[in-house]
Amino acid sequence: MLPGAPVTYSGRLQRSPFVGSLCAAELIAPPIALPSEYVTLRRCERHISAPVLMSLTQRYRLLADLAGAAKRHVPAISLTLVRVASPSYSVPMPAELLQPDVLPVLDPDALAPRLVAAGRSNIVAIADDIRCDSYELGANRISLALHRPSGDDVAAAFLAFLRSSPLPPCLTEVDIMPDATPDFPRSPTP
Amino acid sequence: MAQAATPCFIFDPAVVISTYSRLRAALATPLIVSLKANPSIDLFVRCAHAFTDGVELASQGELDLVIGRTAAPKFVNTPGMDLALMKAALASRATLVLDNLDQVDMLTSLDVRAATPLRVALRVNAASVAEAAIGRAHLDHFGMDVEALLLAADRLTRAAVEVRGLHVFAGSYTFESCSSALADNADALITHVEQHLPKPIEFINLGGGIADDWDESSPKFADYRRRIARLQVRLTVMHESGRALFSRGGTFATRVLAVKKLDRRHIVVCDGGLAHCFMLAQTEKVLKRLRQPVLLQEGEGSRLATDAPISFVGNSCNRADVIGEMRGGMLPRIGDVVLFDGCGAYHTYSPTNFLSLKPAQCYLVS
Repeated sequence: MLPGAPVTYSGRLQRSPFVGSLCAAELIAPPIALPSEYVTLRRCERHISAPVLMSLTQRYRLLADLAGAAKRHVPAISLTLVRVASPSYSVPMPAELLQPDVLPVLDPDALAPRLVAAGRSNIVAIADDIRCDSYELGANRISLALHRPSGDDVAAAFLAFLRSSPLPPCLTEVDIMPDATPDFPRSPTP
Repeated sequence: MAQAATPCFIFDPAVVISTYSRLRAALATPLIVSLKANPSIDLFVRCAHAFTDGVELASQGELDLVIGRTAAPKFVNTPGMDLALMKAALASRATLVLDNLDQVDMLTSLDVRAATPLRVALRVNAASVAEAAIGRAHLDHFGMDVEALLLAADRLTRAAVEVRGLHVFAGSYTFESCSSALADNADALITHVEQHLPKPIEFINLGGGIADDWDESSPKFADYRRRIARLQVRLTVMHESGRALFSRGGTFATRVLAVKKLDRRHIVVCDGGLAHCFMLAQTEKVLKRLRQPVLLQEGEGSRLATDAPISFVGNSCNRADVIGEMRGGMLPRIGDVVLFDGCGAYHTYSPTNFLSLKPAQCYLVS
């Protein structure tokens, strides 16, 4: 592994990490009445094959759990970026994602290299396009990256965190960089 | 269940998707989902990738739930369609299923040039298609008789509005008794209507009326597929389903509030009942066959065995609020959960907000 090289892990969810658990129904209808508002929403409609696998609350919970577990495994992490496209109108963001060392941003993968270029190290970026409502585009992909680890021990600890996370059994089309982890648990291709 | 607030419904999207796939295969036609049977939008979005043939909507509230959330065809079908719903449906490029001549006139009075492609179907009263099979038992007020149907076709043709389809539905639980007659008589009806239209009809929706305990291995389905095969040569045959799709995908859960004895009967008072799961009380049936629930023990300790009958009652002041019974067994305790499966359809069908009771929560199985 090159010194300071990022560790990245990505894949596509083929099932929910919350299998068997109950989640409260939380979606609502938009407050619309004018024909023009129906036209606007109708234009959002797309045929998307990726199913909705989790609720908004569950996605926030997944991100919060991943951010928290990463920090516990790798105390050297200085900042975790998570993707939040816009605040949900019906579901509050959990407090764990509003901590001083967690930053919700539109595009974690775009911001992380800029922070590294500015001299920061041990930045984690959690990016995803997990669908929680039919309005949302996406393919249920998720990626976690540790940018500029300050040492091999930090990179190794991050890989250990990834192995222990709930993601590997749920993911397909997995990609790991550096590709020096042949023992990493992988989900069978469907 | 410990963390779930009761009373509640628990829906399982995997069961609904599997049921949809099996029923669609059993009918061998496109299958439209009747949202009125389960308007839980959380359940809908989990199933939306599978519900590709269309969704039937009976109100503006239902349209609001799905607009933007599915690219599948939308069918707005209600005798109560007013101008606001019609305009919203046109803006949504839904197919309007017109129930009566007043709706026809309402449509032709609008400037619909912006609503292209305009999709219109006409609803036919089932008794007008298969009078003998429908009989008095299934007589209803939906759709038009043949005379009004032809007038509607004429008026829409004069207004340059293309009629693309017909819709006929004999009502709940009529698949066994009426579907064959509808299929057999539809061919002549289509020919008759097409004489009043500039273009052939593209589709006919034969409804469904399939019971919640349907079985795809029933010979009825094989016979029915043979009957509709002749129709499928000339146009697309569709069906719609609500009860048969959703029933098995939902469970009603209510928690025990009190247990008492009245003479030889045990009475288990629950925090939900008729006000939440109206169908369990079977108020519309002359002969009630109350459901036997599954008991889920919460907390330690053994439960008392009894051979006396146990009645499960809801939390309203209505004497009809009896939702289940057992002929003896383990007597639940306060805090235990009582589960009724097969409650995934028409869970929002409730007579009133009597007593302003806390509404049932809804959960999904992940």
